[in-house]
Amino acid sequence: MTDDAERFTVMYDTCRRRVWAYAAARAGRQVADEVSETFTVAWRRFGDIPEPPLPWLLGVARNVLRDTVRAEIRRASFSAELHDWVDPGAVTEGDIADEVADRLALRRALGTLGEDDREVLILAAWQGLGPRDAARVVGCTAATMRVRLHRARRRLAAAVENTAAASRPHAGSRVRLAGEEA
Amino acid sequence: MKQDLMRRLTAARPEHLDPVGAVDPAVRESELGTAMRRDEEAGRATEAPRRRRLPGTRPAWATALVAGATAAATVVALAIGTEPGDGTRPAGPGGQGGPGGESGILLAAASTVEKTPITSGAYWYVAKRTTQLHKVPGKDYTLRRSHVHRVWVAAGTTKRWSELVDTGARPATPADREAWRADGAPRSWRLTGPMTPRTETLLYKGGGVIQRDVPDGKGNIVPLVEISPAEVSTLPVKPSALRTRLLELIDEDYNAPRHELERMVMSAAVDLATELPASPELRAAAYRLMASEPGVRDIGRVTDHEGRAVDAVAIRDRRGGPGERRLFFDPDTGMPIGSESRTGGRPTGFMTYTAMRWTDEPPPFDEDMSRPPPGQGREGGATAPPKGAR
Repeated sequence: MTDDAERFTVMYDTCRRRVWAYAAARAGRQVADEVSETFTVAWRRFGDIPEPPLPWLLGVARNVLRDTVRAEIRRASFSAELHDWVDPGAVTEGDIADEVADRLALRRALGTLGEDDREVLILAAWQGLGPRDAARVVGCTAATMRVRLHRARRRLAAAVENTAAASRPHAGSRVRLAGEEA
Repeated sequence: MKQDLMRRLTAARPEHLDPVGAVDPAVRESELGTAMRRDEEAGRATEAPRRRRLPGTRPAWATALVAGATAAATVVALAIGTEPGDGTRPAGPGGQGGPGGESGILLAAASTVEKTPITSGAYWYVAKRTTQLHKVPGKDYTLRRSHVHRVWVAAGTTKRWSELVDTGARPATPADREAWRADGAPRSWRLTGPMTPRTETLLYKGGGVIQRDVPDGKGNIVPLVEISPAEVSTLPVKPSALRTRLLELIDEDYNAPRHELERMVMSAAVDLATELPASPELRAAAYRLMASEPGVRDIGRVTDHEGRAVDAVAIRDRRGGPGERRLFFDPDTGMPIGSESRTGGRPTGFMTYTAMRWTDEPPPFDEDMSRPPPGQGREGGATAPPKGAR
């Protein structure tokens, strides 16, 4: 194995799972091709990749997703993904009820936000990136990222309140929807 | 409290999205192999020569293929060499813009469209109805499911308003309508399919407005290649200069190898030709640029899904997939009036522009809103704020 191949493999092992999680959180879990394409681009550009590589890789994944998955399709697959996120059965067993309810409420609220808000929140909270690294992914300045995060957080807080007010435990109305007469 | 919210959000991360963990060894081997082998494979791949391909770069379609050169060549032969039978009827001669050719339809449309009078207004307004065809699982009929997407851009700015409306689903053809009646005329359908990995519910009546974006909340529906509306008026109107400039803009925006950037020029040109507030002269330049890009092919005069006679041009899938997109032009004005997506020789969906003009009438809303499409999530839909909430 050449040095490059070895270093590339280390980078892959360190980052692959994160790249997948980022892509799946944005466009649903059927993103294997996009993840593979991301690392193919990374190999070709290996010499140019800055340290740490993760923000750069997520930025490539973002472009690959935008390029290959049309917005309408991404919207549909994200909806399916969201369906899983807010499925009470999907929460780990053994969690105490309040925590479970809070997690579902937050995921639901996240699902009502626009894609841009959702993206910065996911980068910060689910990928653990600081504003500077998140800005590298998205291709804006760190200052802009701070503003976007601030706004997104505010909208998330409002959405949590809204959804809490509107939701009743075990609401049956959506389950009935499929058989509903228009 | 802010920190608290973010901590709660972190705790709410679904388990399968945990960024730490092992990768399936088979997936790892395949992805590493694919990534590091590609360059070598590229050298072996063969394709009909393309004028602008850079020496040593992979042909566009190879990106999507893990298979070797032989399989790739077969795919290309299919994409270029066959004209599948379909619902649209050729009604006139159309030049064959094959490899290295030029699209006569686009060149003719360019000459027509550049004579369009210049108009102006406070907002550039585009409305389109997109329709996807869905076969109902286990039933003998197909649905047309439509959305209306409306976009306003304030003149000379990047301020953009957009609205997405779910206008519902209907049986696609009279025969489908009969089969639907025989099925008890249901008003909602549960679907599964490649675009909906789990399930999705379509409603006859639709879900109404599901998304609004105003300039402060950033647009949710991103164009493939971002040319800001304000930039449009600064673009050159000579096709070769336009191509150079588009490539520069894409290069600024994208982290991708050169040949990927080259391919994206086409997407940018299509956006410019079809949706951005281009002057008649600039629109004509975009058509001329598109006319000589690889992967463009004249179809000819056909009848579209609205029953209109249109001039059709096919654009091959940029990633070498089996899909293509057909653009429809108004024979009288040269303006774009719709498009169609096809896979395996069959239409999978189509789009009709219902408006494309300058207007002084402002967008009829000034607040963001977003809610999941109907039937998405067990409780998620019920929790959506009723209207205009943020």
